[in-house]
Amino acid sequence: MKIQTQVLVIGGGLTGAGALRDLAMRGIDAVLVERRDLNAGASGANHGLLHSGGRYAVNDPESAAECVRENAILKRIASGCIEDCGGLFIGLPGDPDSFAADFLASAERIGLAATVMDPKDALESEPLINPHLTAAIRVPDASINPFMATVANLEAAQQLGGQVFFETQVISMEREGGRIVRIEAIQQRTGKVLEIEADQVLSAAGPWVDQIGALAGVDIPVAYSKGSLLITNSRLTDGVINRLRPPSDGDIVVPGETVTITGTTSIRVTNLDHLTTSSAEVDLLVESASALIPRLIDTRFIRVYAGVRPLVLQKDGADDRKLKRTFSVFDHEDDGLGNLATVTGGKLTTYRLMAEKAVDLVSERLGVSVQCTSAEVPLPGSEQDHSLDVADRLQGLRTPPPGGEVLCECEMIGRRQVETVVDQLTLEQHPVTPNAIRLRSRLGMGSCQGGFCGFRTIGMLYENGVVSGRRGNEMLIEFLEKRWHGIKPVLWGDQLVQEQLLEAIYCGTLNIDGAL
Amino acid sequence: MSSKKPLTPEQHHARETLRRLVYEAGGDRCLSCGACVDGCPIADWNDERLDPRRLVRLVQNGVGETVADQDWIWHCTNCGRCSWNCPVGIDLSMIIATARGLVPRGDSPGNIQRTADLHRAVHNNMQISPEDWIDTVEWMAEELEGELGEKVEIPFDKQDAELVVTINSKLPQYYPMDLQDVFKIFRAAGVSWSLPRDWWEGTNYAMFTNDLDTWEYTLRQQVQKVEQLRGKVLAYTECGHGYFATLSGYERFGIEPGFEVIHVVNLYAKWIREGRFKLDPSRNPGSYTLHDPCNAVRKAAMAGYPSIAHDARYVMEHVVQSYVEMTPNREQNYCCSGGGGALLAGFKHARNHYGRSKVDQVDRCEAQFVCTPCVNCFDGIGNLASEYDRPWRPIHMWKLLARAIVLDE
Amino acid sequence: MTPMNRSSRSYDVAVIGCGLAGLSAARQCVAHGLRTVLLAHTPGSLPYTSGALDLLGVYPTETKRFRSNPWEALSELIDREPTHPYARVGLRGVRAAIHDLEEYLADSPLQYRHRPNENMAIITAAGTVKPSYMLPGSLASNSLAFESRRPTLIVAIEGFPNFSSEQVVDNLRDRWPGLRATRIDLGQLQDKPRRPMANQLADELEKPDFRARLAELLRPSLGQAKFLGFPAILGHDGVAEVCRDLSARLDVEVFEIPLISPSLPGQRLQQLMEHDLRAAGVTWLQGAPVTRLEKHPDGGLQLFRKGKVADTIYRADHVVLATGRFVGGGLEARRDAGVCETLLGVKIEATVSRDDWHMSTFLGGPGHLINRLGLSVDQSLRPLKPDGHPILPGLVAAGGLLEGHDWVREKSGAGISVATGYAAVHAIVSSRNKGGRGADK
Repeated sequence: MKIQTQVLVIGGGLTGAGALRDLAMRGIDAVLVERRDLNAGASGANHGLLHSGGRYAVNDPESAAECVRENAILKRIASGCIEDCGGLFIGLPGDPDSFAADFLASAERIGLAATVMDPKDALESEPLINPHLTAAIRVPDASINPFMATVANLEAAQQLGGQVFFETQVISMEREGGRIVRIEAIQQRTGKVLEIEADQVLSAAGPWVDQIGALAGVDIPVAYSKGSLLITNSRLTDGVINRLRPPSDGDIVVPGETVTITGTTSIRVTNLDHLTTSSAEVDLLVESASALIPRLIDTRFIRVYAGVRPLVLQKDGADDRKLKRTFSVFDHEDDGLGNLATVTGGKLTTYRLMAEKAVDLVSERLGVSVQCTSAEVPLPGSEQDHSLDVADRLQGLRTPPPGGEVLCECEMIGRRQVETVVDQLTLEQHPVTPNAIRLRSRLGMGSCQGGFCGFRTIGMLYENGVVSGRRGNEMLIEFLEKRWHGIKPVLWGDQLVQEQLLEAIYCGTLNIDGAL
Repeated sequence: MSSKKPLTPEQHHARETLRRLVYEAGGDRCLSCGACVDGCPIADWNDERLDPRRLVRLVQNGVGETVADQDWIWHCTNCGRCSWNCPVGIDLSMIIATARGLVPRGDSPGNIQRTADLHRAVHNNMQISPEDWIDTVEWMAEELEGELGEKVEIPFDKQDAELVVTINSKLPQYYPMDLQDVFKIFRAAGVSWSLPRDWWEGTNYAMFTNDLDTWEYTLRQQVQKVEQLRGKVLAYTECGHGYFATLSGYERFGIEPGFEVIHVVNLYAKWIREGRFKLDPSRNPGSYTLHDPCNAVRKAAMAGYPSIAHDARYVMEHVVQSYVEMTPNREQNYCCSGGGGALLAGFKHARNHYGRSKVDQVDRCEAQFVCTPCVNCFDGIGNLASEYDRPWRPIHMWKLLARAIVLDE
Repeated sequence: MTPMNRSSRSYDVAVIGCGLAGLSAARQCVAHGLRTVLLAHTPGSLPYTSGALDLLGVYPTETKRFRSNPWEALSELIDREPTHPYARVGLRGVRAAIHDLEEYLADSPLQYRHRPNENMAIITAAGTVKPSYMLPGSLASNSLAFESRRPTLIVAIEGFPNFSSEQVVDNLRDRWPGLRATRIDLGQLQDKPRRPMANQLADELEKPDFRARLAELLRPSLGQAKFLGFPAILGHDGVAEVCRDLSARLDVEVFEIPLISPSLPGQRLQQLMEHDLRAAGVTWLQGAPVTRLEKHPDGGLQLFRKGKVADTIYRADHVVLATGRFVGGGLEARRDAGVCETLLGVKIEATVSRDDWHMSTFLGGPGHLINRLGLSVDQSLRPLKPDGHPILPGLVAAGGLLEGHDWVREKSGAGISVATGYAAVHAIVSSRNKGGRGADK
């Protein structure tokens, strides 16, 4: 299959999706390819925190100021993906006293709305935080569902003519003189090769930008810092809880709709494709986060996951946390390439700005002078001023069966909702797998981690004729094994009991491990 | 700007209270297995969005305040079957009971709270005046005299009796004749007993709205009364929730009375074992089954209080000619449809709907009579028989025992 | 003066746990005329099981070798794995225990069936095939249907999300061409449709007039079918009559297919045994946990049952600890303290680093290491301290919480529970015959 387009975007994370939307809004013809599924890199493995800027206020005011601006913009244009839950920075005994003053001073300079709270009031609003807190500052942090945000960006782009190919990996770039003239991408499932001719190529491949660069024969200096995060079984706080001190391990707790996410660590890695989290790393996270929320010491964790921060490498060899958290857009002019741009670094909160700056470069090269409007137009699903709210789930369960039965009890996802996702995937010719459904619905993200709902979903796919033969059961096993990677490191206590029950059902009752 | 509607202080309180409670009740252990829902007779009531498992999940998902807005927590009869079936021991019914307490008192449905308020104000929930109480009791004593042909003294406020007896106020109000049966039994047992002139109420509806204040107040008043009488045992006549509310209330409020609380069915069995009655089961012809009251069986067993399940069967074997079990039974029995204050909550359709599990099990055992050693269960079963046009009828255990007792000439 | 006075709280044997191990132990207590109390907190994990009783289906687990003759495999296992619960009991003991259960359950309303030296195979809700040894009547027909490969119709129920007939049929069709799927809406058979849940559906199926309407609904879809397979919702204790009646009405053989949770066949078995044990005089105390177990000052053992007001103390000469593994609550895995037995607080000595508890795959062979951790016992099933001495005199243990097995991979869960429950009580009886009365000897 041959494709001609003005711009090829590589990478289906939030930045790539944001870029595709921005291009489409400027009337530029664009195609996005993604090796796996949406948010396979850092956009799918983070806190889901829409930073207020507080986190970087003292150490990296430039990043913090970006966050302040983008936080306000996203709350406007992506309200349907955001729960505007607010956040607290709390100081604990032993934390440096001067930090709060520095924090407030910097907040003032960068325009961050930070309000000092009486620790007693903070404790009343968030009863599970450490009761010994010595200081509290309220900030406009929020919780964002990055999967919904990517889907919404892609949908906006598709409405304007943008095209998306998932599970499609770029395997070669042919260079003629100062230009990439042809790109080959292979579709994983079918083995078919797309031959793409694009005027401009924008790499938003996250931690893999260097690999894309290498295909084009350019060297991109990126460091990889792995961060691990833990997910609890239940939501423990209403808002985001940060530690009022210089950034360190395990000092952010973010409510993510139905759960609480805590992290992270920062460990240099070189292998991006097999990120693992050791029990020592898990213990570190549990223990440091429980300083913020004491109950975390014995709460039930359901999963661990790790992401890689692609950091713009600096010369002085500083600690990764001290590296600037701004982003870079490389034009590759020095590499002798006039039609490749790479956007890297940054963070979830600034994805839109990253996309804007990258698309500015690309459109300039294309000679397009349309201004960016991505900060003004709401994303699909965010047209109304309606915040993401878990309580809405209850309304969604009203449909009586058949059709209204609940497939995922942990996250309260009904069959109708799953069928809608399946219909959309089918329409987009996207492979229908439990994992693809999960990314678009939260199915399987709760405490059973897909054990019960995965089984029910496969049954529904068989019933609806979406899968046949033995393929569904294979998909089920693939799904369970894929989930296993993130479950294994948190198997103790209650989550181990859950695992034992599922193992008893899958192996004991169903003999799915060694079926005759 | 995306705006999230801020919670009212009440909602915030509800969210945090339930969050703490679910955690303390072991909510983190939930395996999403569905054992609670699968055995729940009301989980499938039309258009409902809640069931025990979802309730726990909503609280864990951080939106516990939405639970208090649902009628479901009042449709639930707090029968405790979900807690019983939970393989990891989460006390779901306690969570639901607490959620009820988060509803402002004026907003709780039907007459449950009004009934509790009456209990507090006039010491029984049927507004029976002290004069009417004494008149009714004495009238029934006279009736009994007619039957027995000898003088019947009612031991009002008798000091130092072995038993101080509570009475469900529905008896003097609606079923006064049943008092004769009760008196006849105590008389035949040859036991020293005392009937209070005041604070004799044997129910406690405050438990159903989780009105802790009224619950505790009424219990303490009754304890004071029994202690004044220097009673050794407080006998709960056939009222399951009164029995459970008393024992669990003592624990909850740290009340340490100087007497023991015993369900009257356990006393019936004891007296039969001791040979205090001459019994003729042929006086109760026909076939009988037994309904296990949730509060005096399942919930009592879970709390570690004496259950009546075993003794109730022992009594039945001695007082009726033909006894059949319904299944499931004992701790796995279905609610009569009148539990948890449901008879006063006003959700008749819901109540009748989930009573189907009960109707089915009574039908299956093919008994003519359902013995209900609980006044509310008697009404619940009676209501189901009429709603579903069934031939079987409820009957109190005191009726069966009193009829079977052969008095010496 | 309480209905349960002090003397009535003293027993020959206290069994803790109402899973298959506890139930089997209590049955043996009854058989030996012992005054028995059974204490259980929750129904535990038996209600999750399929009702099919496995003896040994796969051995060795490393090779995932399916064994058609469980006894042959059992002999090999006993030779090679001396710490396995089967080896503790010994082949003769296992045979005696299983034979006893065979006789009991064959004559029960659940009509269990087995073949002397052969595992049978049943189809499951995933469309997979599972070996097992003893099957309740409704699953024995499942096995016959699969074995015969005769034309069979699999029925799913609209709105019941735990069972897809299409999934069953699609996974089996290549070796069972006569297998077909259908789907029915039971709502049309009910005045007021109910949310389809296993227990509620079973309530309906118990009613003859409902079955009559169901049979008429299904009749047009039958075609050449000789067997008719349903998810395992065909009634409660009346399952045999439900199957018989539907079979007669439609001139087919009706069978059940095991489901994920909740699983009625496991519930039926537990309820049957509970009913029979209560009828035989076992005192049944369920609903509140046992919190402590220790020597009684006057000899024997005492255990504390948690009460809301105060714990109740029970005394017994002997105690059978059958509290199960992690799901049942007999074992606990702690983040910072390893694997422990919960009632005695015994740390499992073989505890390995948390990183090594599990394999890198969920379902791969040979099985997770944590599954083999459990309570160390001697040949008399007495739990041992690290120094090799019994933890408490008069205490024996049975069932999943014992070390040295991986029942989920071996397909040996029921057999281990039944054999050790049986053997534990026989050890008690032989110690009593020698004059042993728990801690006073």
